[in-house]
Amino acid sequence: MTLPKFDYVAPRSVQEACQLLEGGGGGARAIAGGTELLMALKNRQESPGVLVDLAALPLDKISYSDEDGLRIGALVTLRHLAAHPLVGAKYPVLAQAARAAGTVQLQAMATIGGNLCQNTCCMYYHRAAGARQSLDPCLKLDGDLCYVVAGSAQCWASYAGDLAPALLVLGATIVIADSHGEKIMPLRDLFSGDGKRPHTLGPGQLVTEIRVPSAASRSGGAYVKLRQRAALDYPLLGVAAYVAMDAAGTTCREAALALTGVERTPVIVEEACRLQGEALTDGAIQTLAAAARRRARAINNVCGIPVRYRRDMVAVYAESALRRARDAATH
Amino acid sequence: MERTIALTVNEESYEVTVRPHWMLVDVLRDRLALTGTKKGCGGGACGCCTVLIGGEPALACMTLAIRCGGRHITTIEGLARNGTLHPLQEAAIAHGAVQCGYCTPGWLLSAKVLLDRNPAPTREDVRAAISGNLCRCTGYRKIEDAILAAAARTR
Amino acid sequence: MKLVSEGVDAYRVVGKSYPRADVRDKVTGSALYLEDLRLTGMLYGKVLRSPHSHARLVRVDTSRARALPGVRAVITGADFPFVHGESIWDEPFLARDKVRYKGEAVAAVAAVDEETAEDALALITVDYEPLPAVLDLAGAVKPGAILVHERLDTYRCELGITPIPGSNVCNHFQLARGDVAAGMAEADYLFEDTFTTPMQQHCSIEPHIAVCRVSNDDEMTLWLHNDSPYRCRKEIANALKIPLKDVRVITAPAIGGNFGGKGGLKAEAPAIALAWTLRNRPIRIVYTREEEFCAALGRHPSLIRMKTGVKRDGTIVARRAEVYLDTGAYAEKGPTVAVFAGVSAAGPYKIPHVKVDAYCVYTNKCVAGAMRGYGGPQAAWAYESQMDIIAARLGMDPLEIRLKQVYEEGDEHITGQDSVSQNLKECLQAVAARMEWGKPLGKNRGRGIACMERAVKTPFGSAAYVQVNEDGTVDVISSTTEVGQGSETVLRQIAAEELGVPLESVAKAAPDTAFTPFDASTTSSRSTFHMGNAVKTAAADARAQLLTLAAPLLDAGPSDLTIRDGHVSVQGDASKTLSIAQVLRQHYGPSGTVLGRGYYIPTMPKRSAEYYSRYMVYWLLGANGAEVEVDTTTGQVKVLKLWGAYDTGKAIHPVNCEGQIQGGAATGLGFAMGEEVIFQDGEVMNPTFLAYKTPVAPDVPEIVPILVERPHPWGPYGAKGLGETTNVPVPPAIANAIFDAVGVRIKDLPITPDKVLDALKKREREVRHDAP
Repeated sequence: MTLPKFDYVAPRSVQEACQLLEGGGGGARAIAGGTELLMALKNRQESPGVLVDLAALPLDKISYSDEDGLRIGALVTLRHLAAHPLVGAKYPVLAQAARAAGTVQLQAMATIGGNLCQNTCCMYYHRAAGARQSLDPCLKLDGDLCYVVAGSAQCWASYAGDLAPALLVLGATIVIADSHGEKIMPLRDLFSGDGKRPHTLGPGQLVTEIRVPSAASRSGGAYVKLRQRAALDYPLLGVAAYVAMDAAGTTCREAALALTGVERTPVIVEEACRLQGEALTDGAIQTLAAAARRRARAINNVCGIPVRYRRDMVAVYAESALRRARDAATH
Repeated sequence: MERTIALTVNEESYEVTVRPHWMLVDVLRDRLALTGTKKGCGGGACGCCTVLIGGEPALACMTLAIRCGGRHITTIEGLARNGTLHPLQEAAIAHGAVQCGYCTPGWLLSAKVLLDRNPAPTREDVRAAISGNLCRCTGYRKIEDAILAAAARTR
Repeated sequence: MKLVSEGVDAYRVVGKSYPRADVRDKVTGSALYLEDLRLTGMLYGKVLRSPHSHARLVRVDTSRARALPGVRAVITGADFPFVHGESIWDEPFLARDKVRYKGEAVAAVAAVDEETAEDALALITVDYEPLPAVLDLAGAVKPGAILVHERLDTYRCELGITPIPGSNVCNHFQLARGDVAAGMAEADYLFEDTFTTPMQQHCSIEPHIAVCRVSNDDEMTLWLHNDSPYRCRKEIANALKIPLKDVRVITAPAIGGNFGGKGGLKAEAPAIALAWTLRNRPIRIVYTREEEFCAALGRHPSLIRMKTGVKRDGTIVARRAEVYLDTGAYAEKGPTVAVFAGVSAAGPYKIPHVKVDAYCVYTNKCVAGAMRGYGGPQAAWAYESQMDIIAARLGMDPLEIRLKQVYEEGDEHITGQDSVSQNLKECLQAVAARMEWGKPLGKNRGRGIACMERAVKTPFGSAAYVQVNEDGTVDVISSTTEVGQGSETVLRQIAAEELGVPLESVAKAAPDTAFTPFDASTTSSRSTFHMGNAVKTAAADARAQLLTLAAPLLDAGPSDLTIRDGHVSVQGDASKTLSIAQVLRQHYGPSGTVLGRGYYIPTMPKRSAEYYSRYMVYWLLGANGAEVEVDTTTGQVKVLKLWGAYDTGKAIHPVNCEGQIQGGAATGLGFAMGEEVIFQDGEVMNPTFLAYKTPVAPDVPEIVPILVERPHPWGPYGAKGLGETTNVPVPPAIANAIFDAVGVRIKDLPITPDKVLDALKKREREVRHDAP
């Protein structure tokens, strides 16, 4: 498997990188870890004229202060993130999600920014290159049909990044840079809801930093992932949960629940806010898990495991994640 | 478009002229004649092209060579020093951890990364550390035994 | 040399686990695989493949590809109109007139580099006229089904293959004993179940590669990692109608996994076609992982209907098995896979009335052929799952019902053969003892056991030379391929033992048909036994010659001499001794060597003469145990531990044997729990290591290997084969453990959590329904 030919530039600053990406129009692509992009190139799903290498940008640091919370440069690798003692201690959900992604090697190469910007998945988009030749291209390949939902005018490819749900339950914001400067926005606004173009970034825009509010005391989080093997697989379903308890450890101050692998974007289960001020009983957890089940509209775009099983597991996994988060917060 | 990059591979310096779309695995194998790094799937999943870049594991089939200028790379050929096998290699031999051998360079380097960070791993640590290296011959058990034995010997 | 582990017996070399001959090269990255070979002037080949399951080739336009700078040849089936096949000659090197599966080779390109070859593929245009396709077993065997091969009746077949003309059945194998109808009438209970298995893929980490060069005089040299150089040579020479001597197969020093996948002509076929066209240039073809899944080979998907009549005490009196194997678009080894599945389908049990029909069926899908177990896993999935269904219904212990009726020494097998070295009972007992069969387990935990027998292919020959060099070192010259199983080490051990030399003075190089003598194949777990016997005979021949040379030098008769540690001595007089090198030097002067010859082919008893592949020189025998825990909320099964006890005969290299038992168990675990090549409209939907679920390290539990060492009377030092079938009983052992844990029975592999959960829910509904 060879790569198509492209030009290569390695800018030294974020400004320069954004200008290069903007100037290149649709033909320029940023490369960070490269684990997903190079596969898309090998499969001829994409053919950018130029790769803008982000590796030299100063975005590979993790810092923490009680005032600013956690700041993660977009080029921090998943392996670096998972191994960071402070992340493991204060944001276990994040370390768990990073460790659940891909394999050791992929974690060492892939960046947190790249993971958030991970493309959506669909068995028809990822079908064999040889088979693709004879078929009309699907929406995601710039065609006009969907093989999953017949007659659909929109692409149903699923978002299956592991990090997004963990960061969403922690209330993360992201810094977006372009040639005009920077802006801060909630992470949830990064996702468009469109399977074909799952992100809201414009040409010339980059995620440069991820910010997580400072860790609350008596809080806990957990990420659980449904997959067929203990490593390598994308999530058939991933659930991140976060809860913070009051000083007595009896009443919930804050709760959040988010899903991945089941929709075109990561799904935030808004009903989690109803737990605020409530006791985190098993019944309350089950009610929220049932709400999660209703929110997830997994469709049949993954090989092997039937979609109804993935749907059925949403409540089971949500309950498991919430219980673990509660246990971590109360112990 | 071509560019000449300086690489340090197994503590030897090289200058190689590469094109942007060349993969590190091909440069190692075809230009530097370091054929111990294997090509199994071309898709980042089998792990038999694992090398270390700056001490971190990387898949050479998913790494552009042009991005490796100035980097220190370790391949399987660099694991033994001056003809003395690394304890992991010794243990692989002693525990019958090698059958067809095609995945061996990859998991040996994954194991080196583990032991460099964690000299006293549990079996679960070992299993997680090599979970990115597919093996179809051994059932992994003797590989795990070898890594645990190497760790015990190194401590 | 440091031993990996030390055995205790009368042998000096055999039975001890020395480090493998190739292991130092393999751990340092210096082992040479075919991927590492570069030849001067070598061109890179790539194959254009069909995107249709079944279509007429209307027009193939290669003109634009030919015009691309760097392209040296573009060929289609019209340029190379030859057909090959191992048992049925049905497969074109490149498709002609029509394509029969998605992935079939339509055109091939040779270019100066891989990129140019890939670019050229994109410039070939093919007009197809799609035809209706037959995409599953049920559809393929229906009367009036679309025919994958309309002219099957005209194809050349090997002896013993029985196609049904006018159908998609390319081999119908039958085995009958007793009177099944009468047997069923005698039975107290009848059991009727249908079991299915999907396609599994070998997943050798090294993909298929071939390098081929053809001279102007039609002399062909191939650099291959084919598991069986002589078999491959014959298939090529037959296809091209050229003499065997004009095809030379040179085997790579190291081969990165096989499991049956590297036999036949895979990457070889287009490499040959290109090299034949473009003389004097070596052509190299390397399959992508996608080609591995879509255009190489897999294990036959199967459907087995099994009807069994049982007495109240658990005695099986009659069994009727119908085995359907989906061989895809070309027969490949399918017809003999059906024979082996059919021979085993009744299970390793003393059953008076048996009737088996095994059908190998064409469909418009990618080709199935040999894979570890060769029909055994499909058959065992049926007979060992049903054994526990029977036990549960009769309230019997699954171990007891097996021990009650497995074949024992001297029993007459359904093939009519007397059982020799039948140690299956010991295998079952060994597994049961180690897994503490019968000891209570916690909630939702269960134990399962399963066993198997499978034939070794018989009668096929193996030849070997053992050359004693001037310096006393020894070369074993044999065409057994080292595919990772450790054959080089085992054959060296046998030569060293027989000759009386240290292991480190014996070498075994990779085969080259120009120099290494004939061997039928490195398959079917036949090498240790067959080639081991040939090497042992050759070493004994060399030893006898050495003793004859040494006798006058030592002033003794040859029968008074012995060889030990590379020295020839007079027995009882240690002072009279010469090294082998001294013997050769003193006899021949500076340039003398000794060449021993050996050949082994099992003799067939007269009454079995008509049984092609039914008389077996030995049976592969073994049992696996599994302990599982089932999460009843998610249906997820955790396999906690596996045990495998296999009849090794005398274990020449015990650590290698353990490795075969553990590795086979992991492959069986994958087949049980998630591996499946998923087809949709004939297209492989998961042709990557990401989407196809080969187990990763944390998925594989502890596997306890148990060697049941009962020397086989005809094996070299009592050894027999092992690695072929160590995966076979694992899926039913796991399914049986799941039943033991939570009472649900899965009959369709793989056992994914959704199937378990559905079964649990269904059972819950039934229980509720039954409740008063």
